Amino acid sequence: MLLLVLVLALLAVAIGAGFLGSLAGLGGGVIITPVLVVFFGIPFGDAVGASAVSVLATSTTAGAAYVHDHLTDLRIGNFLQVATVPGALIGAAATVFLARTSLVPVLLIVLGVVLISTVPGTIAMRHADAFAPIPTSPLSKRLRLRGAYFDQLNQRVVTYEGKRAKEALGVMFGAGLVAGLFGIGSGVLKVLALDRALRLPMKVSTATSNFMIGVTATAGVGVLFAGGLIFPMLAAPVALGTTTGSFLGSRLLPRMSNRLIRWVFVGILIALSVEVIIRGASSL
Amino acid sequence: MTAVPGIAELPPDPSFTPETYVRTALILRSGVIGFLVLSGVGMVIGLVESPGMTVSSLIGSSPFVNVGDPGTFLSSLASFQANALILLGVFVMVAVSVGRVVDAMGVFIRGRETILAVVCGVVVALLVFGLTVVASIVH
Repeated sequence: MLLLVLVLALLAVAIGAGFLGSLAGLGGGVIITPVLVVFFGIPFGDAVGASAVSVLATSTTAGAAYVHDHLTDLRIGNFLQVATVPGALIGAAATVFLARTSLVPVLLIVLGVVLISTVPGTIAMRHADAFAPIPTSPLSKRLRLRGAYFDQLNQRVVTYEGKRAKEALGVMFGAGLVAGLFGIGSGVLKVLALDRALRLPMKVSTATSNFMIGVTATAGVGVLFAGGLIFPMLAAPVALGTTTGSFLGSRLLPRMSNRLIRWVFVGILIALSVEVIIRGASSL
Repeated sequence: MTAVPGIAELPPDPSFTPETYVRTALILRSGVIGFLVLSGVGMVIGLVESPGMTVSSLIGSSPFVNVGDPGTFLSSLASFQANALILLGVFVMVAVSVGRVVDAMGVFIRGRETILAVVCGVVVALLVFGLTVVASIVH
């Protein structure tokens, strides 16, 4: 395949992934690695590198908008990054080493399982505000993990308090590890930690997750680049495409019902996961 | 940048003022714009320079050949090489990510929130550790 054809195809696919991912509330990065492996035949490590760059670009774009709108909790986001960054460093270093071994099929199977395991959380995201109340931990109180945002829909100020800081740190380390290993944002895991451990409002957890994904991806990108897994001409069209698609999706989001789109995206996610698992298993 | 409705009604945060939010958003946007411009230009140059290049030859080559060390990287940039321009865009975003954590550390120091300032310091140290020590190990 000629490079020109590949670049144009990658741009088109990445725009679609970014657009659908944005409307579904997941981010397009989650499907980039399997799409590059399954449809473009890109080696696993190189696909992870390109995907990590696209996640960095997309999350920084979305992060800027959320911060400007005061939906991001900068206090909580900056605090939890202390767990995601070491996770991402370990995950990315593991990918660099494992991508050179015969264990790539195992990584593909694990990637498929990870992607499928995010599906229930993705579907449950709509019910995330309905958890039972829990007490605020001493650490959360000491760090003043509380805040407020202005709800444009209901025209009122919503206040909240981060509950279980230590639990959130644990989940965030795992999210960082997965992000570094597979070049994905792990937004679903991060949002679940913010929802279930800290009990933040959905909008705040989504925005704060996006803010953290950028720094987490930075840790991974540096290691993947040093490991020779970031090919600029592969990463650029993927990152430009997902960023453009996400931007278009975020513009259309207020005018669209995202319920059907979320189910379509979940369907694509499941199909890709199964395909990746089959590929991995058949290569063992 | 347009004012966000309802911001004036929010309770004040001891460290993160509305100006901090505006500054952080500006830092992030500057990184995105820098990346999009540099990688977009780099991608077009790459396609113009090597229209007949195949995917297998791209993957088969090492990304370090042209931009492996700082001296070669700078000379590649000076001659507008595609890989160097795209990587500069990635580096801009990496720098923005590190910069915003440093900025948050400054905010916490000014607000005398010692624990969170230390936490941000640890994050910066981890990022620098990853970009230097871990990077040199996996290289």
